Amino acid sequence: MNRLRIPFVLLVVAPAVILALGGIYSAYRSWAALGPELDRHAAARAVEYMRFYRDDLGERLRASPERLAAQAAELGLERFTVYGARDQVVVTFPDATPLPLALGDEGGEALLAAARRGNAVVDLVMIDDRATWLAYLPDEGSLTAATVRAETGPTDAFGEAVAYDMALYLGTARALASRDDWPSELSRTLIDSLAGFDRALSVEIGEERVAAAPFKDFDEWDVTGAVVIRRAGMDPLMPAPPFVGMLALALAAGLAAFFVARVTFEAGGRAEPRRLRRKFALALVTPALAAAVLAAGDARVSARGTDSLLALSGRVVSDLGNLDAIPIDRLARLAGADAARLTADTLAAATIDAPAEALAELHSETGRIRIGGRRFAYRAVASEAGQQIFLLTDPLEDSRKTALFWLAGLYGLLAVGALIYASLALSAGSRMELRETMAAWSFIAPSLVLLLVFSAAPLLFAFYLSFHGWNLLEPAKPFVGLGHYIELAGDGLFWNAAKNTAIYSLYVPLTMACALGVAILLNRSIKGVALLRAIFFLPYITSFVAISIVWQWMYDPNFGIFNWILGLFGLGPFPWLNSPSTALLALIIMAVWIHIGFQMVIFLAGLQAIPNELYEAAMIDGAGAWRRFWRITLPMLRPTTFFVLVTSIIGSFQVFTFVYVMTEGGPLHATDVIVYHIYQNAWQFLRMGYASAMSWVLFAVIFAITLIQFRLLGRRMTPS
Amino acid sequence: MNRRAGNTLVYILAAALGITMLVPFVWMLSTSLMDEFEVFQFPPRLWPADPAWSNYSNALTAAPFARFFLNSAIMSLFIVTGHLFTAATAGYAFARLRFPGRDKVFILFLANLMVPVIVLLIPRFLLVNALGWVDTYMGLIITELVGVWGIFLMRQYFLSIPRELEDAARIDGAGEWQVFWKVALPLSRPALATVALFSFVETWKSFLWPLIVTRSMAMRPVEVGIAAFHSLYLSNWPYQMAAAVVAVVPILLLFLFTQRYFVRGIQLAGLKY
Repeated sequence: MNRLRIPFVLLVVAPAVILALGGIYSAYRSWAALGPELDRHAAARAVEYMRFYRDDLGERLRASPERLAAQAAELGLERFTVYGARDQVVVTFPDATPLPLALGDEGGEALLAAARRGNAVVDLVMIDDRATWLAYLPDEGSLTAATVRAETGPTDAFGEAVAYDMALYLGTARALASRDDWPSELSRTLIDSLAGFDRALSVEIGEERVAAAPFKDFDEWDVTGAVVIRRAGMDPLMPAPPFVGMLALALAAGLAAFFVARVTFEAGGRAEPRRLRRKFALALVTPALAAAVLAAGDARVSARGTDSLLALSGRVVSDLGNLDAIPIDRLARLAGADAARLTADTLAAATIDAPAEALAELHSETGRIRIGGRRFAYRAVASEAGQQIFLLTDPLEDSRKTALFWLAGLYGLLAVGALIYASLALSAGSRMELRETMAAWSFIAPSLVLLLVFSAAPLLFAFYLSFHGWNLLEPAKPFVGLGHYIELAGDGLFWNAAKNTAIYSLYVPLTMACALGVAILLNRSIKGVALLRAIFFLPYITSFVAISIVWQWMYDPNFGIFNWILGLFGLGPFPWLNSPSTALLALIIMAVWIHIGFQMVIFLAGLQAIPNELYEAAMIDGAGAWRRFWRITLPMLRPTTFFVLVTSIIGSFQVFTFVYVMTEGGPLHATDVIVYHIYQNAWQFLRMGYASAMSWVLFAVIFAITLIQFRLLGRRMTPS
Repeated sequence: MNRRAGNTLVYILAAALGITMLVPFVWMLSTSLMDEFEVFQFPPRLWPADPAWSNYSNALTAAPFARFFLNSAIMSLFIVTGHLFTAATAGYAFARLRFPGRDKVFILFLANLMVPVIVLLIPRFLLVNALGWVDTYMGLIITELVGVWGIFLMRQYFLSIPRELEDAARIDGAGEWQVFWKVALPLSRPALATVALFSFVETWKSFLWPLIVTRSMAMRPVEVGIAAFHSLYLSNWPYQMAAAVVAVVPILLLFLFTQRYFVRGIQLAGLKY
């Protein structure tokens, strides 16, 4: 039994432990990520709310701070704090506080001074010997402000209180970012992220993670400030951390492994098979069931979280009074959700493509609805005037499914592993045989699991993807059937890429001719031959990106070395990479240079395997060098040649780096090859389903070539 | 034609070809030392009059190259270790141990060689994205830990060495792990070295996956970093060439000292297919 322990540990216990640790880790991570997620929602809503008042109800805001505070309370916001004099407003959320403002008298002074300067939108001032940024939203004399306090600031760069407008500041910040003395990433991250996105983000400031949402000015162009929310504790909106289900699954896997272990050891070839089977089933199924129950609970918690967020949005919206006056898209942003409006049960306008019938079916105040293949959580809000607004958002619980899916898959793998182990343990003929089998499987298990998870499963998943519209940013993944394949057949750009790839692969026979010549030349034991072989091999092992850059420079039509050399012979100048008619040719020439050494090495091995007696016999018969080459060398090299041809062609179908670095598929798609085309579709146009369909076509072609290779090689190698 | 004359001819021809092969490298080095005026001279100067070594320090500080190298090093360390482990264990099992289904599983492994990486790219990305590993070392490493090619090479190697020693160890009562670890593994050092080298070079040169799975400059490995540098300094050829030289040198040095392993590796994997 002792001998069994090591393979057993490897096969069952180790994966279970890894799985459990992974589960705990990811549960922790998602728990930690939940707070910032909610804060982002909150900050975004705060900004929208403030913006709304800035634009439309600024008067109301300025006229009466008391009224504002009352409204805030109604909205579920704890309060709007009024700082110093007049109009500065800071939004505070329940159980979340803004960053420590620590404005004190000095800060208040600075704030006011900046306000008086009129259109200064961002200031960096020193407060308590620390650099502090102040971001303002100047608005017809009123000032809505939030401050962000950095632990350290770019003091050296700015000195004391200097006013910059935001655009200038952004530019300066970017320039400063490359300096050594720029202090940490905190202020930079914030400003970069704020400038880059129009939505709330999670940003690291100092050591804490906060949610920040940018303000923009009237024409929605410049970022003029930010609302930053820092959590004080768990948000009451979300009663329990999600992903409890994941944790449960991991624990279940551990438990199952433990039980399986006990049962198997207990068995030791003695116990009655039927009883064992029942125990086994229990050991695997019970924890899985428990995990399923917990996961279901987890989903419900997430669903409640979604409802709570919608409820908050609903309160924001219903506070607005006359909903007719507000454009629907603004309303949507205000609510942090998609909004669809129904006036007297008629669909008037909608930001989403929602058919009237679908919305008319809504009965309860909150719930889930499927519109156009996409699931939404909705909340109906009635305004004072009796209008109805529907707020729609993505259900939080849906986003948990992917992770649960993968974990369930891992659990399945584990269960299969345990079953295989157990059945082997019970069925092995002799102790020795069992020992060897166990050892072998434990040796293979790591590779096998990795291959299954990261190669086999993705291969099938790509196939699945190719039948679905799949955009990373869109939650809806509609089934399109053969749509992508049909589109592919009529896609001129795809065929162009296929054609370019085929032309590019012509470098293979070219290179083979050169490589064979070089191999024959260097297939002799003379001094320095090792160095020469190394030189030929060099391009193949060096950085392809560096090579691409160098060749791009050599191909430069005006100053490149190629046109210079050709010019010495009275040729050229050629446009090389700059013209659609020569760009692909340029790539082919480079490919020959790169691959010649690799093929040469294989040819050399093939040459050395040819018995010398053949040549000697031919010499005696009086055959010349040319004749010996055609009659002996070439026929004897046939398997090598065939191997090089097929593998190189398969390799050439997958060219990417050169195209990406040198031409980006251009000019005019002249160097757009299949893999680059797939890359573009998947990551630039975000059409991952369509790109998967293309990649499967490529796979099919390569598969066919490989099969032909096996068949031909097999025939040639079988003794006839 | 006597032998000596023939050899001289071969030398001349081979040297001429060899020099042609080296032209891009020399041109790279030479351009990396030119100042901004020399670069745009026509006809081009073959070697700068006054080598501008400052190009290197300027280019290297213009982008976080140290970080790029660190990332590549970390990535390579883990992936090479993973390859060595999986190749040695699985290769040993396929070569030495008898168990039901061995050949079928081996064919399943080999079938992986037929799958072009691009097919796996999108689903792998979605998987890594779902796990929250985009732009992390985990994302760079996790999908690459096993190399079928290495397994195949190790299997071939184990088949080529005699198994008497292992059997002797078994008779002495060693377990399978002990036999593998204490007897077979020490004997397979040359093959392990080949696997390590190849997976290192492959990892160091890998481009598409790191390009996709990293987003921030701080996570880019050298190849992707250089490509980004290339697009930032498009018209400054001396800087770009300096960066290219820096990217090429480590692998070049490695290759100079370990040449014979490369040749053997290619021939082992290439011909016994």
